[in-house]
Amino acid sequence: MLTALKQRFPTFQQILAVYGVVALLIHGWTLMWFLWRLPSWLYFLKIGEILSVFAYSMCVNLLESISMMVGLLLFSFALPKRWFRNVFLSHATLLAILGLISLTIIASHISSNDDSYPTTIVQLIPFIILLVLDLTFLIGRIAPVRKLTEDMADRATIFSYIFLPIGFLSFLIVVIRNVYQK
Amino acid sequence: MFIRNKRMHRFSRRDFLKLSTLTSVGAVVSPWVRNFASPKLIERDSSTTNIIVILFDAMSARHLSLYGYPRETTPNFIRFAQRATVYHAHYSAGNFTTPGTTSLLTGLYPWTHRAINGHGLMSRTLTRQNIFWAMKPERKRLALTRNLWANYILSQFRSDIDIFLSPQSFSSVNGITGSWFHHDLLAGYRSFDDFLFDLQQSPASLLFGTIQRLYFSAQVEALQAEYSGQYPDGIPNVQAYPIYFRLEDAFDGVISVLNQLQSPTFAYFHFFAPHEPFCPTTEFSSMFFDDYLPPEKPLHPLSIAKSSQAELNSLRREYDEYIANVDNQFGRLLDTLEQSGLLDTSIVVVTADHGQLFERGEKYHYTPLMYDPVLRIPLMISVPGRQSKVEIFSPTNSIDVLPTLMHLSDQPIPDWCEGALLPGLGGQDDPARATFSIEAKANYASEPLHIATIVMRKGPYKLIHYMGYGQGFDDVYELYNLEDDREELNDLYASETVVASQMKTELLDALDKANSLTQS
Repeated sequence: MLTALKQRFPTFQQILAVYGVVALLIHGWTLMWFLWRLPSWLYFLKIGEILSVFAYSMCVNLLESISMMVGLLLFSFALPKRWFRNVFLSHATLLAILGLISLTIIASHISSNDDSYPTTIVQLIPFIILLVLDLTFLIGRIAPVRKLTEDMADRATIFSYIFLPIGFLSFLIVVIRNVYQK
Repeated sequence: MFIRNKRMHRFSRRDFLKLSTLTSVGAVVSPWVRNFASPKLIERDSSTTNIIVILFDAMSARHLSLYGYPRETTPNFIRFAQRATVYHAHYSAGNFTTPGTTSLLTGLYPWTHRAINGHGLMSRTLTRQNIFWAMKPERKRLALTRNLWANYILSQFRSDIDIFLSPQSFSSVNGITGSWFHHDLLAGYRSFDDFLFDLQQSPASLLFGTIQRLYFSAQVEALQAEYSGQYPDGIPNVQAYPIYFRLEDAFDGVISVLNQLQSPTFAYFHFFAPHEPFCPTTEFSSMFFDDYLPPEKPLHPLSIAKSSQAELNSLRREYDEYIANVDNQFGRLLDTLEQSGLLDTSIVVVTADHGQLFERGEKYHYTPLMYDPVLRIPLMISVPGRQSKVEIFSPTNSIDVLPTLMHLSDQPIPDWCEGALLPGLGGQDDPARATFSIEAKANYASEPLHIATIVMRKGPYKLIHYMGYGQGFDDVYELYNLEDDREELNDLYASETVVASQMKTELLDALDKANSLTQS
């Protein structure tokens, strides 16, 4: 049973590679905004206070990237092996890239001061999901693209080794601040 | 036999929201909830008075009929004034929430406490210099603000506040996350509500932030659909933060807390209204479509908005209508204070943190301009036993409230306090006294002031000093005699040279002193 279950999931190395891509995009987005905000924070925050915001952000990024990764693994578990599990590296990477890029577009469009409900965006979300899935499975069939995404994921593995320790350290800092601060 | 009331309605979503909000507040104020459950047990200690500070955000004294405004905006303020000391020339020490609130709560000028930037904090070494700390030996201390910028400052005083209600208390819909981090509030609010889940810019949290924003928007949409008849201009909300509330719920919440007060208590209630966005109920919306036109004033070169006079007049009308709505709710609060006897046993302060500006091309209060409408705020103080109105016309400042409250409650005035006792409540009218208001949000908090607008009030005169702005405003002064020129249209700086020179010297001396403290 356990062996059968294991066969539904990709290898640890593949997971680490795809996680690197996911973490790069999720952390990259937050870091971009962090650097954009930094000059204004320097007006009134101490370095330690800015670092605490960084710790909370990295902690949230850790949870986000793990959630995203869990989603991809569930996808791998649910779909037939030859659709996703056997081509996990390329398809999961493509799905993560296309999905997160779509999310950045949505996030950018809900950024205005206008507090009205973003009806158009919400109505488009099912179509965006379908488009991302279609593109993933269509583009993923093209051999050079598959090779490119696999290479990209391989090289992105390093980001797993960078962001995972930062994330866990930040999580620890957040826990300590909330348990031991008055 | 149990007879069902014909008017009994289904338990609606609104009822659930109200009940859940009150339940959460009840959990926070649990020691009082026991007494609230059985009102007979409440025994007020009449020997020591409560102190209740009610602050309305962005309420300009220049828009209140209490102070002679032609539109009938504040009949209930006038009712309260009949038994209070009313200050007619009361100034905020800052022109927006952060410095204004901090000065009120610390008795310090912004150039001392350094809470001068938007989202800013006061100097970390001075955080024990606050009114909650000063009240400590005598009273239980309670604080509630719906303004997140004021909440940052209150979070700095967290260890001196016994009951610290979260800013989303008594709201209809909220997406505030920072208050989950009870032991690390400042970092919690800063990280989540000002950054990761920011409403104004894209959320810095790509996945959770986007989901949270979409979910919150859906909730707001449902709320607005439910109350569109009651609130034609939208549901009142905390502008850049995810808190939506009905005005009556905000007041009901405070009334419920007041009903549970046990003496002696120092309670600080900071209402967000009538801060923009202006969202009056149907009864008040459009009530001031009238012939009133304020005097037209020339566009100021430092105006940021550069709005047309027509737009400013329209915004002014909406603001006035919202003030009238707030005053109406304040009337209910006043009824509670009277009926419960709290007004007879408490010192009640009604004030604001800053005003609003709808002139010279500028709107609201995000401005380097420091004309009277953005600085002059209401101040009324009712003390037990007073049944008649006392009016004070000499200039006073928000830093004077703390020492006066300490004096009225027979407690020592802290030596760090820069304010003086208010005339009529222990202090004397001093024509030689200068008071200051400071706007310096473009200045680094830890550096001496070099980009700022500083106002000095002394006697009938008001000196405005602009420094470091560029556009020809690196070292510019304006002088007005407010007794003769209430609208600040006639700059006397070039003509009244003696007064101008004396006041300039005094202002620069005070600035040098403040800057030298920063440098040291």
